[in-house]
Amino acid sequence: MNQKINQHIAYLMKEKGVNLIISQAKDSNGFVIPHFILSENDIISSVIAINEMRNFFAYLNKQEIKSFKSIGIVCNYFGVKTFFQLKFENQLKDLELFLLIPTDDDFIEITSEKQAEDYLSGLKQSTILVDEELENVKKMSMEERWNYWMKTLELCTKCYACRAACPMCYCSSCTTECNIPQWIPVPASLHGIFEWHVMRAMHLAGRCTECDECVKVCPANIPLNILNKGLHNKISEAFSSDDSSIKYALNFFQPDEKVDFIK
Amino acid sequence: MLNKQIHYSNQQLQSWVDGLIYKGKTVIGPVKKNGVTCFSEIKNFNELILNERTVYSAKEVVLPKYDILFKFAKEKDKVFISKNENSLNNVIVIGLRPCDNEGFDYLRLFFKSDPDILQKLNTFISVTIACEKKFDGCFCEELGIDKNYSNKTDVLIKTSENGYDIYFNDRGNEILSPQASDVKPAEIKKPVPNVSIDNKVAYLKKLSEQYNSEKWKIVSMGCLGCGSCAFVCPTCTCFDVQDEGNTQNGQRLICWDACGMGLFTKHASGHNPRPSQVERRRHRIMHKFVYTQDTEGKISCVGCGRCIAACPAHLNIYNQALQILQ
Repeated sequence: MNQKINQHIAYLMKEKGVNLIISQAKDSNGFVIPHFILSENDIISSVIAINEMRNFFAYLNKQEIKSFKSIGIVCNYFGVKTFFQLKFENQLKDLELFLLIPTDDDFIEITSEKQAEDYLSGLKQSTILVDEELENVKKMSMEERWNYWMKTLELCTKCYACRAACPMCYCSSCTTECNIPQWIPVPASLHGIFEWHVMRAMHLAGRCTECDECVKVCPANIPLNILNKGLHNKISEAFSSDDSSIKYALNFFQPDEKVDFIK
Repeated sequence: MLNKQIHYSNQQLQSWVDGLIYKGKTVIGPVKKNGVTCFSEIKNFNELILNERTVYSAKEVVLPKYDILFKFAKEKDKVFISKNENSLNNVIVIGLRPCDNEGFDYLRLFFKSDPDILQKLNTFISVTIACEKKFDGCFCEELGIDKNYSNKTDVLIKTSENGYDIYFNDRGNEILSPQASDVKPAEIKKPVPNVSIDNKVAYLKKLSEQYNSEKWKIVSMGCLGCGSCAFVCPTCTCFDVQDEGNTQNGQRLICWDACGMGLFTKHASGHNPRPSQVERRRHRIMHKFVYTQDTEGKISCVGCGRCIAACPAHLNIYNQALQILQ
């Protein structure tokens, strides 16, 4: 990372009691990888364009990482969005987090929900590519759409990298692991694959932060972001006209709820 | 043993593969599907992608991601069981790499007491392409595998001036059916046995002395606990057994499973002997470099680098082993 961030990382470790920084680096093959800084000796300078950066908030779901308590994370827009959503879902209760967002030769630090909200409201990330692909899929007839998904899902081996890399997939026990009853067929047959991805998309509806980590880590190149974006739009239509006010459509509850199943 | 050789032009290679398909052989090779290079049956030569490493290994030919072991059906008070017969007769796998052959070689050792899988492994005919260059993350040479040569294949293709030199054994002769006048005795440069490899294998075995090392915590930090490394690996063999169906009929399946996943070792009681990624990552590295030295007499990593490319954190299993040993 740039010099200013690195200086700040050293400061956080020395003065603020931060004992882990999840930074980003490029390996010898050019892959963007997590770089864990456990002491000042681990600090390296690396150059990664802001739009090449990945979202490593999924590491906060690991107990071994959580136990560090006070953690710095180098991230971009999507990391902040994830932080905001996780805060809203009460998932970061026992953690003290320092978000470091690199800018040209400086950085922005975010530690609270309020700061995150201010940062996000001032920015709008382009989602043109996903939107275009989603439009293409929506133009298809039902039969074409079915064939499209069968073709793209065919190579899925159910390695669950999508779930592992997703910061929003933090459940300690996943529906797919429930076997009494077996909701999702275990084999990576079309039936099993289809039900897995539909179930995951449903659970992310209105919560997905569009960081596209699931797409980046999928060995089978499945455009899961189209599925998530499609559901995101549906949720927007049903619950709100404004993106920023959808926080938790899935289990958002109001006392004057029209349906009574939740009571 | 690759004892004969012929020379093919680009055109001849294409005609040969298309001819095999025309004659009714099942030809499996690297193709692009949904932007992903993987092994699949081809209908003509032009589908083949011969200059890339596949994302998924060729083990799928023998051990698909899920497979039916047998089907069962109940009629009145009798139960009928029908075993699933799918042999690999007439199957030619083209576009393997020397590391893929080492992978199959390991599978033959691992499945030595499973006649069904062993029979599959020994039935298909393998056509290997020598690697001209390394792919991202490949490290086969570090483990003593020559990227330009394999003695565990039926046909070996090497690019040469104006086409390809094709080396083959008796099984290769059957599918090539060359004209006698074109065939020459094989003149192939075999790799010189490398003694330093034995030293390296012995060095890797020292990982067992580091079983309780604190460094495992460091190397496992990046592991998110998915199964992508195991599912792209040419030598990962673990599977889960699942029954599908109802009281009247159904089937028993074997499905890929992965030691990186928490559920893999979780007991019915809820106890998990490998409670975190530290133990799971250690198991994976130890299994590849140490345990199979004892059980099968060789390390079970072939250095293809597929797991490094597929891993969400691009963890390098070989570098991590060396890091532990340092």
